Amino acid sequence: MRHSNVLSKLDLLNAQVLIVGGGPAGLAAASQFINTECSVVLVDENAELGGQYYRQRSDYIRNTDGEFREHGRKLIEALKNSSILIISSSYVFAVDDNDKVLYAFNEKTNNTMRISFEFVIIATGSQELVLPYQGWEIPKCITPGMASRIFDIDCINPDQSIVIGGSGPFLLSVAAHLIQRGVNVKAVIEYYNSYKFRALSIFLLLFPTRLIEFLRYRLILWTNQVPIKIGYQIESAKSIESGIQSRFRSLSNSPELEFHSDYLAISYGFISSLELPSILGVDIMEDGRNRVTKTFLYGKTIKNGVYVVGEAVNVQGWRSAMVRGQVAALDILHALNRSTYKSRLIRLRKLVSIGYESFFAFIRKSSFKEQTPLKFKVSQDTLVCRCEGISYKQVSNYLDQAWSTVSGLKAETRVGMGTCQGRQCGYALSRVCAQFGINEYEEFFNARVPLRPLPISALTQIPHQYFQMGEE
Amino acid sequence: MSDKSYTVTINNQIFVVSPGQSLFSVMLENGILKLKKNAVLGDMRFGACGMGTCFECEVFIEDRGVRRSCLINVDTNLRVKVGI
Repeated sequence: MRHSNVLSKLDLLNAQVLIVGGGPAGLAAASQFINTECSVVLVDENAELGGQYYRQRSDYIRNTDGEFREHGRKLIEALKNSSILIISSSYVFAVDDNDKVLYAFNEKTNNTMRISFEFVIIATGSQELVLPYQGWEIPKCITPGMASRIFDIDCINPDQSIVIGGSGPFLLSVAAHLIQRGVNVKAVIEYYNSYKFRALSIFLLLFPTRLIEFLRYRLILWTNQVPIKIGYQIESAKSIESGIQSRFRSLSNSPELEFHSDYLAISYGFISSLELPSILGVDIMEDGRNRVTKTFLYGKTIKNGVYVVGEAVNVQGWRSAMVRGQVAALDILHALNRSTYKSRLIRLRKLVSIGYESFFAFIRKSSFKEQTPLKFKVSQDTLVCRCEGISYKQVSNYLDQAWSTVSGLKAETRVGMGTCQGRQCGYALSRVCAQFGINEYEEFFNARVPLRPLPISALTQIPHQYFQMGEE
Repeated sequence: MSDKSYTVTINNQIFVVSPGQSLFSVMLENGILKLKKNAVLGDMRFGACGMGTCFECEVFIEDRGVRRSCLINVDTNLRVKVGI
């Protein structure tokens, strides 16, 4: 094994505006700076821009299978042709003491970067919420997001079957897309008593395109005779010769369901990715089962020069994310004295759009009745923490101790100390504690530096002079 | 396939891959599902999230190190070790 890049030097970068995240929000923000002569750096963890929503098919696949969300590709190409510096395959792992410098590591070149900035726009998006079930660690037990990715973007052989479960309208969207690719969707299993119109749902008529989108998904499922089962939760998955055997228990007294499929995809909606806002000292607050960043007008936060946009602010979908990205960028242009009469007007107009999107999110939430907390019920040998292999039994042994908070249980059992740094099990552990009455609602792991598992060479590249440890 | 394709060597097995294809999907399509050996339990894992949060699809890539295969698009010849 060769380690050719161990001696590489620290890259020093200087930007007026640093954008972290290349999804819809980050792209929308960056596109506002095209032709403005601001020095803008965009850091993204993926190999190509687009995030999850605008993830693009490779050129080769596009030639055989066609475009996927072409609007996103045009946005990405416009940025690539501009003077904006795009750094892909790189993630931010630390922040300097004065909060005006971020450290990032490039996974492709093995170089560490020290990026100083005047303004930062954080567009780190959200991740799917998965609650553990027995067998969730076996291969091909995935998330709907992953299913959408491998069949829609990577275009793998669609001649396979899948069961989609969990909660939220995203399941329907994924199911409809997979059906259109030719995948055999055996069932959609919804946890909540959803998809029934309530009094507030009348306001959905104010959002015709989205209502039609939703009805179209239902129609695709209906015409393909895909059953939607409501009020069931995944109980277990087992690897058998012909694929995965999954069992769902009823939340009422109906008999349990059993399926055989090649893939099993489970998620319960999305939670915001808040590690970076947290270590930058931005306020985090609870919003139902999610935690969100506390932002003010235009995405500003209590930290001077720090803007948070997109799903890190609120899980409201890509439209809202893009508007929030644009508004933050326009406000920064204003602060840099580069705004025009027109851009100030757009900035105000976009605020109305944010209100519109928030209203939609509220109506959607009320229509789908997501408020009741998810019930966490698993067998004793179910892994709570898959990286460290900690079962529910090992955790429940300590639930009656005086110190058994989320952090206490982490220290005692090692839940959340593995490679994923608690991204997969953090929510589960907080649910366990909440259900046991330890904390009133959710308590979460603290974000810690480094934000990703790092090779040690990432740190040895940083010269001694930068380790000031609080000396000002 | 065109002459622009790359070769990906996974545990001494050689695959010809079109440019820009994700390394993760190359392994999935070829039935390579034992990507990462869990350090505690010793069972074999396979990516679950497809977006870089679960770290279960980590593989060793020569000249780079341990990387999440779902975040890598093949744009050069790669030598990969899985199941370690």
